[in-house]
Amino acid sequence: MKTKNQFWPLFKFTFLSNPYILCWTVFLLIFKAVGISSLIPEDIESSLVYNDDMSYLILPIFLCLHIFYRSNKEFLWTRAINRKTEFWAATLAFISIPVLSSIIFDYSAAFYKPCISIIVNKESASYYLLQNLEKCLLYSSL
Amino acid sequence: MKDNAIEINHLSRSFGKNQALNNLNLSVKRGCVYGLLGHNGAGKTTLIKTLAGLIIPEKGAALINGLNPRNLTTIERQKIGYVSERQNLPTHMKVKNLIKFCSGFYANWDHELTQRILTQLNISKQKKINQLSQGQARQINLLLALAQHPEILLLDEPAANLDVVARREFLDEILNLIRQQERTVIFSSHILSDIERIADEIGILVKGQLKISASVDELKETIKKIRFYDFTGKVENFEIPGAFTITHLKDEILATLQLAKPEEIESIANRFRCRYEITNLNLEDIFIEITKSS
Repeated sequence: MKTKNQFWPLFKFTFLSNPYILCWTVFLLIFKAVGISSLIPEDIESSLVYNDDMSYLILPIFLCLHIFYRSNKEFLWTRAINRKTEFWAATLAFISIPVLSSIIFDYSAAFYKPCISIIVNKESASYYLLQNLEKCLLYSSL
Repeated sequence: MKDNAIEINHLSRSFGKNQALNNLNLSVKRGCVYGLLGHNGAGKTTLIKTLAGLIIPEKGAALINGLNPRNLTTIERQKIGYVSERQNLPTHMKVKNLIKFCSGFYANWDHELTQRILTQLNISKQKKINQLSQGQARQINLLLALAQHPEILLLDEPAANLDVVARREFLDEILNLIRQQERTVIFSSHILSDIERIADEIGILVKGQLKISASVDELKETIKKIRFYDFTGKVENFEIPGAFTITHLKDEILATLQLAKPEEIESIANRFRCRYEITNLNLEDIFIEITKSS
């Protein structure tokens, strides 16, 4: 009795069934995009672990992975699904969400940063626009 | 192939201080529709979840098709259908996507049956699960379990929270579908009439222990309520081994017993020098008497 490849359906299922991870990712990336220094005093900022890398996404990823398994365990584990395939598909989906979001955010920074900065910093949008266009061009040339 | 589809030996499982299953033994023959009866918290869900491989037993073993449900391969798992007590379907999915997703895991998925049931139930494939009523979601859950043509079907309170009419329609549906092909079904409920309608055999669970396991007819034939009266002497130490309940009233004693042979009652009456009157019990009375004894 042969069944279809299970990996991609499970990957898609994990990817689409988790508003939590998408919300967290978007929230944190906006947070990153705005820049923490614009929101909190400098002395507190220096003590925070937040920085430019994506390590701060590890905790929400694990949290969401936990929520995902709690809410879908009964549904998935009672189907004829290969557990190993399910694990790798779910892990890849969970990692790929913030990674993909980050890439999209970085490339589109030139467009969203000025908007956010106007709202949060009330600073000149043109400054950010120029700065991020430069960044965008740099990415494109790479 | 073994005669028994399900074998449970000395199964125990607790959650903190709560002993959900306590040294439970049970075997269910292939092709039997087995009804599990019990109050809320009697251990029905724990037992079914253990058989589905969702709960690890602390002691003893539960075997499904002769195998440990935790270590089933995908091919072996294709032979087992499970309908949860809770609504466990992914609510964001449309019915058609859910069916497409699930059907991919089963080699012998019956698309014709799927379509037929959907038409019969009048459920649109375009609807999302969270747009369905509770009854419709349960029917979809059952459809997903049936379309894979399982050898063993585990149904945990599949008709819970449905109104009387919806429940009856739903059970008729189950009956139609499971009788068409010889399937082993474990069906739990605390609604006695549901169990009585569809089960070949019944097991009554009380505080994690299987108090009795027999066919509905056998239970009705053997479990009786007896009124002992007109005692000629003083009644002392009125005890009947194996009696479910014994109630002492002013001049009479009421006892609920399982009588292997009708003559047994004659010898009991002779022993205590009294007369007796037998009352037949329906399933509800039997259930109450058995659970009361604990």
